[in-house]
Amino acid sequence: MDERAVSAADELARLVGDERGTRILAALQRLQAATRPPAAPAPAGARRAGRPRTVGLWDIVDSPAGPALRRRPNQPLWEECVWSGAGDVPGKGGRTRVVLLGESVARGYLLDPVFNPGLALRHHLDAAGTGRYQFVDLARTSMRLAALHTMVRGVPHLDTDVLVMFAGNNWVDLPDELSRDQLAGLAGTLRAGGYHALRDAVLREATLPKVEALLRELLRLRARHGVMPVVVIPEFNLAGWSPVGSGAGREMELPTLPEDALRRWHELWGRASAAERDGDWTAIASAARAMIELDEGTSPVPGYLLGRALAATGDRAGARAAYEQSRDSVSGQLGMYLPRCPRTIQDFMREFCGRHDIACVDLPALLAPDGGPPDPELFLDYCHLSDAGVTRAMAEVARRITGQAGGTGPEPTLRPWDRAVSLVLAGAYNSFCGQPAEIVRRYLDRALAACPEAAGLMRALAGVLDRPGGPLWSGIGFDEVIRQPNMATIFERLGEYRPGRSRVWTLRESLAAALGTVPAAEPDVPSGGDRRPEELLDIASTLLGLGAVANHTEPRCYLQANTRQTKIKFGLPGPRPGVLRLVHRRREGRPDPVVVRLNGAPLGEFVAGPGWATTEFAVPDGLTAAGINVIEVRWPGPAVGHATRLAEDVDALTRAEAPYVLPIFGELFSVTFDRYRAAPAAPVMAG
Amino acid sequence: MNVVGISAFYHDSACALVVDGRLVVAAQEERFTRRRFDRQLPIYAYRACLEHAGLGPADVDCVAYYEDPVRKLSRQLWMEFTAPGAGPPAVLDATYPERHIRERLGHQGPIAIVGHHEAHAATAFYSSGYQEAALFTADAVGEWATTSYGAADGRGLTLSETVDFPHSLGLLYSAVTGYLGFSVNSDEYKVMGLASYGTPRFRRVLDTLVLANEGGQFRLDQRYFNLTGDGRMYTDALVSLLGVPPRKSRDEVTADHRDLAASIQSLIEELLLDKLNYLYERHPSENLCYSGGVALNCVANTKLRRRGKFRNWFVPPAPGDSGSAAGAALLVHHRTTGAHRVERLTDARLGPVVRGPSLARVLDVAGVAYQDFAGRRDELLDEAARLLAAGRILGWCQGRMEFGPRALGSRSILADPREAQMRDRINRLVKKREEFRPFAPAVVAERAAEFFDLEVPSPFMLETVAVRPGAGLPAVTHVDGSARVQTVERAADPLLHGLLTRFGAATGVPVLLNTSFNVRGEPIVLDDLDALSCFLRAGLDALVAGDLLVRREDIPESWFGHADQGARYFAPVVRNDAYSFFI
Repeated sequence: MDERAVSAADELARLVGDERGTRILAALQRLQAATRPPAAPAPAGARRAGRPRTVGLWDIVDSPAGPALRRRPNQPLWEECVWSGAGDVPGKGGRTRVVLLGESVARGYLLDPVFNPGLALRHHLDAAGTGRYQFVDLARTSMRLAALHTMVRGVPHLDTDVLVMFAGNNWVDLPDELSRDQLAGLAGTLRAGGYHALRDAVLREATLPKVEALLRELLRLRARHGVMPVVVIPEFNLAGWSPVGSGAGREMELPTLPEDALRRWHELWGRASAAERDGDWTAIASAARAMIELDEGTSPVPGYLLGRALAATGDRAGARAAYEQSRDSVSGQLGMYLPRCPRTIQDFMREFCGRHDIACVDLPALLAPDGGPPDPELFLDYCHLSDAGVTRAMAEVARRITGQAGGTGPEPTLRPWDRAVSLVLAGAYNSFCGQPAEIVRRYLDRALAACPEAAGLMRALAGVLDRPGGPLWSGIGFDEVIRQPNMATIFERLGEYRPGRSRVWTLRESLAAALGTVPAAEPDVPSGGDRRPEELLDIASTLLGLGAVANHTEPRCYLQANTRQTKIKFGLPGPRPGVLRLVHRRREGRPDPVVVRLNGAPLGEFVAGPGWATTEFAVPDGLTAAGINVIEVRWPGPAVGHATRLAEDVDALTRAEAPYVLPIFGELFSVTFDRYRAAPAAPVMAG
Repeated sequence: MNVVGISAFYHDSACALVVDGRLVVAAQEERFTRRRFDRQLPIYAYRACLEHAGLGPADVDCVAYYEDPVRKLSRQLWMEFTAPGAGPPAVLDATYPERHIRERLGHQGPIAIVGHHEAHAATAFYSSGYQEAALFTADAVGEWATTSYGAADGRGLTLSETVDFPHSLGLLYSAVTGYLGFSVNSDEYKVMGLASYGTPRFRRVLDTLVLANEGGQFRLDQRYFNLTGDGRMYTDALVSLLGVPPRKSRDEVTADHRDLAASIQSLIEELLLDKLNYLYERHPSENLCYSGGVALNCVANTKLRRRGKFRNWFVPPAPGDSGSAAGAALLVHHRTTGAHRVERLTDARLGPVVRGPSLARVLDVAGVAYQDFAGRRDELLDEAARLLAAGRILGWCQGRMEFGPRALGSRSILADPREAQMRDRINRLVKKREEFRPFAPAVVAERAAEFFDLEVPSPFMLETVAVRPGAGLPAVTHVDGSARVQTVERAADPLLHGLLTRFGAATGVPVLLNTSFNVRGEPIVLDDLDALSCFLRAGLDALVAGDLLVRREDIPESWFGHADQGARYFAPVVRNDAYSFFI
């Protein structure tokens, strides 16, 4: 090694080894990338050699009847399970080949393989004329925009006549889909305009150009290859999906706001909640509108409250607009939220299709022709359609393809049992997504209404969840649960997963309520056994865990409370005295007390400082109960100031990292309830 | 004083906790995340270590980080300037480790930076029990150094000379590993195993790759290596030089591959011996502390120990980067307090006691039969020994995890070593791995010399020695008549020692085949519930977890399918086709 080179590199590293230096280096790299000459185009021969011979899991092979598809055997299950179940597809011969591309809505998530949009469409096409159409389902769960575009480009090699594109929920860019340049540009946007400006820029500057490029690809397909595109604009379960979760969700509630605005926003929410208890919809609407003004439309909460209030007063169009505002508030904020297609993209698709005469199935209009929010019974969660929703959507798609008005024969129907299974699975999935118990319960009740025998399946599921730890497959009832093919698609995958008991309380509660039972609680450990208290923070889980932060930053080893109130649940076999112990911190600590309640009753207060400290509370047995017990930690205000958060997020984007976005109210390293320990006389605090 | 050591952001991330100068607990993150070689900040290992010691985050006086980010940045900058665009844009951020330690571990106290090779050397020295020692470290690369020489005593440790990137013994071996179609930074031990099947006929050719081999220094002829970009680590020039096409991972292993493996093993042994002799001249001590990933080459270790000039050797159980978490913490404690413990590490079971639902409760609720030997450990050992002697393969999960890559009797698959078919059975059914890879024996220390040509203890399975003629251990005897031995002292692990002794009483051979308790591509199991899952998927005959004995025949048939199916849904997360010097 040339010592001079090492010495120079060392000196340079010392000069740029700090935060400022990191920014300088990032800028240099961007400059380098921007000024690097583009790669030379591949020679023509190489381009020909690059003609795709595969699409998704299938090989494209020549046959006398035209291009055929061969599903590649022995694919790993993790790949196999996300694609449509279509096997080998012969050449189309004289038939019209209809290809379905899309994401999980097109796969019929939670219904598949019992029922899905592909099966529904095939039914209609077959009914339109036996042998006239050849239907090919190439949909894939979790397909994102870039992958979909790649597949669309390959469509000509399949000799496709009609391309149905049922997608759009996964299109808004996530941080890792943005280039360094884009992220650096967004840093300036955030600095200048805050989080709503960041959100709008992501949608406008990053996502929409890609959407336009995809749609232009459809035009090219039509012009050059005679492919008829049919675009399905997705819809969201506007009224049936709550952004006010169970406390275990991973969806953002609110980005950080200036402290005063944040305080007032929460006051207004409290006022709205009180008004909701009184049924005062006018007061709710008023509070919600004021909240939207404060958060500049960046929180999904007030729009949802407003939507409910307007729907209750009969203003369905107003309710729809409010719910849409709720849905769209997070799209592009670079925080964590579940798939959805915001109005900006829906309108763009609508307008593009109209302008270019592309057949378009507008689900928002189709599913709610009166301009209100769609019926929640058309959905199984936030965006995936129920069998009724699938049937209605695919009948319209078939009508566009076949030109036959009024559908094409009798609609496919699902057996009551199969419908009930999909609703039980929906209940489970909604709880895993952090939906509150009343929404989870709604699915379970619908399942029982559809088919009372579903109670047996629900009991089996409760048995799986009531197991004392261990993989899910070790729970009694697992065999019965996965006997249902669509249940198997979710629970087989989770089989090795070992959620602690506390992580699935909402589902256990809801199942017990629907079945009229009580969820089992772990019995007391006999004297002489391991009686150390169990950690109640589930930081190890990102799927179901309480500690997961609703953004795309790297996981932490402690809980950051991004909502004003942290709820932690635990089970007891009966009332038990004990000691509640919290290890806590508030980085920009202040003297306002943190209030702790147990099962709704005040337990005590403590002041959280900037360093980690421990507080213990004596819990009399009168405060605890058999079954689920709920600890509520109510934080006084943000623990990290708005200016600090904004500056840190600007820095993160400059480094090409995901921003944090959310407020932090407090932090918990550990929460335990020791039911075997004699209680201290008074709260004890140690730092 | 409580010092937490962290190694992270490259591979094999780990956490270690040193309390008042004693290493009390250490764990690799992969065991918790189930991602082999996990490189992420060890947040789960950190929590587990603190919980094990009964500490909270406020009790951590200092976090010691195992690498100097500014010096690493220096090397990355050099690479960016010498080979711009050779790989993806590097993450050029020397603030990254501290920022993540503060943010993601919630640590608010001081963070001490320890040089990468200092941390390696400290891992060995502070665990060696030596008052003073010469230090030798060889790995792929840390910041700049790839090979280092130094000395340590009660005043601390000093590295007196280094060989710097891109000239690296570790990278040389890894490049050939990649050439042979194996995963680099992972499968070097396969090359070591394959070497015994070949003859070093490529040795002269390989010799030409190493230039200026004088004193402590050497250089790799960079015409043959691609060490500054992502992708394969060798150039077309090396392909031409060797005249053997690189092997693809699924290709058959041919005589050429075996000979190439033998050649690189021979070369690395000679280079190491040369450098160790140089070290002895620079720092003449009776004691050598040897660390770095290259120290996992146990075939070389024994030859070097026997042929070298150092009288006493110590290689820690985790000589690679995971072990550097411990080294960094031990060194910082010494530097901060001026004190260190002179205490030899004899037991690698440094893992935290992992808490969770008990296996017994899971089996009870599911109605699965098992035997509980609580309070009857002797009976448990008798039964386990009887099963082993009857040819059964046991999953063995006991107490604290081993720290380091080797299963040493806490998380092991155990079997009778007396029949060659046992090796084949485990290879084909359980581990699903290449047939040329040998299995290792565990033997009671007091009778090791009866079966193996071994004159020193080998508690961490870091010595490869000849199996004595007539020992009758075909399942653990490599093609060249050698074995990678673990000696088990009664005082260090009375349970495993007891099992070996009972097996010896039943068979005359106090030796067991001991391989890691995992299936291919996964980390070693963490706890008894992981063990249950692995036991099912690996097709073992019985599981001994703590006091419980579970027999395969008592398991519901459906569980085998569920366990297998559940695992198949998850793609392997970590690949090791090439080093990435840019992270």
